[in-house]
Amino acid sequence: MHDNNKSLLYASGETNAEETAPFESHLPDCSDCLDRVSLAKAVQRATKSTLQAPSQEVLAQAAGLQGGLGGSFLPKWFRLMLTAAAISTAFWGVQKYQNRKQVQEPVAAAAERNSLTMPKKKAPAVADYQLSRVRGRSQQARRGPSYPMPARPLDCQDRGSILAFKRYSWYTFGGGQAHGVYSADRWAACICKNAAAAGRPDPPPTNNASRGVPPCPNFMVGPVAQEKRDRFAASFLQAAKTFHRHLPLSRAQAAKLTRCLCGAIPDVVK
Amino acid sequence: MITEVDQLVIGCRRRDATYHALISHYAAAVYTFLLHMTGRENTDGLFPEIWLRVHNSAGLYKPEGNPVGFIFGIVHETASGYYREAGPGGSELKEAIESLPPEIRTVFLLRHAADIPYKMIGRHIGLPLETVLKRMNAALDALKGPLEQFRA
Repeated sequence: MHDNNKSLLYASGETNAEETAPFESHLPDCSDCLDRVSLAKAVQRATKSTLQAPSQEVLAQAAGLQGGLGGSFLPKWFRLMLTAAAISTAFWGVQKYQNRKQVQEPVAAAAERNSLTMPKKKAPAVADYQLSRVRGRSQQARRGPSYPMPARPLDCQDRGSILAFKRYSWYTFGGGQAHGVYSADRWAACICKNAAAAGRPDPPPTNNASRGVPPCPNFMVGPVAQEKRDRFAASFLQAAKTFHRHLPLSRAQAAKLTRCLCGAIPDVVK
Repeated sequence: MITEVDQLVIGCRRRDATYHALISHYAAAVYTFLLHMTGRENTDGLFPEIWLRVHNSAGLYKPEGNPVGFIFGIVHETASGYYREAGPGGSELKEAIESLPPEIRTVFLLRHAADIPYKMIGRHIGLPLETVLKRMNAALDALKGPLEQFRA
């Protein structure tokens, strides 16, 4: 009996020995099956001729994008040196921070450190504030044209707010490059269901000092041990904090975006 | 058994050369898929975005899984918002492919541009095998005319 599905599976070599033998014996007597098999094989030949490779420019762009995360354009020895310097600076910084914390706020800190809620930003001391202004100016000079952050939080009912969010995230994390709009679209859709309907914003100015997207924690399936869950939560929180700091999002929205991109925090095995 | 392509996916986060080799391996298939599904205007922007997502998600890849399915799962997920109804000009076959409805075109291109077996396609886009084959038959019926010249 003529069976289009079986003809397709046969033509692409996906039938097992038990199915192949009876089908092959049936094939010469069935013109419909013969026709379908020949059509399926013609498609295989035809699509090979339509395969099209990307231009060198697009390939180079794809190959270079992860450079923002891994730094492919730097020699290996230089990257190793940078990594070592970063580790030692971080180690020194953590030690200094812990010493200061022990002296200044020995009790309140522990609870906050272990909690998963995002801490509210404290107002800086006058000296810190002045320092941050100076630092802000130099960072601004490096980044290029200024681009003020839209009002937070993102309002999903307001098309203007969604477009402003897309444009700002495109500028901050996508550097204003053409490919950055896709991430901006996806991120907005993670937070607001109607984000796609809002359309696309005008391209932002080019940002030569765009930020790297914070990495997600290693993916975990099902309940995990407490230690693993804590590691996941710490990394998750770090990503959420980065989104909150650099995008016009409330804390809840930043956490929602992180959950959308990285998955939910796993449960602990009982 | 871990294949050579499995190793490319696993190693792409550690070594840039491996990442570049992985891109070269699938560049034509991914690019052709995007071109037929999303049109020229979106393809050049989506292509780098997809490889960045592959790079960032490589940690989730199970070594004995299906690397083509893993990559095209990301391609399908990233590009699905940009699928368009019909493309402009080109060869008769290209026009016919791009006139297929997006759900049928997806199955057709996953099988023939990406070379993913039917059973895997069903698994990756969450459809039973019968539906995948039904869509493929619909695609073949629609492409009968332009395919005549390729028949043996």
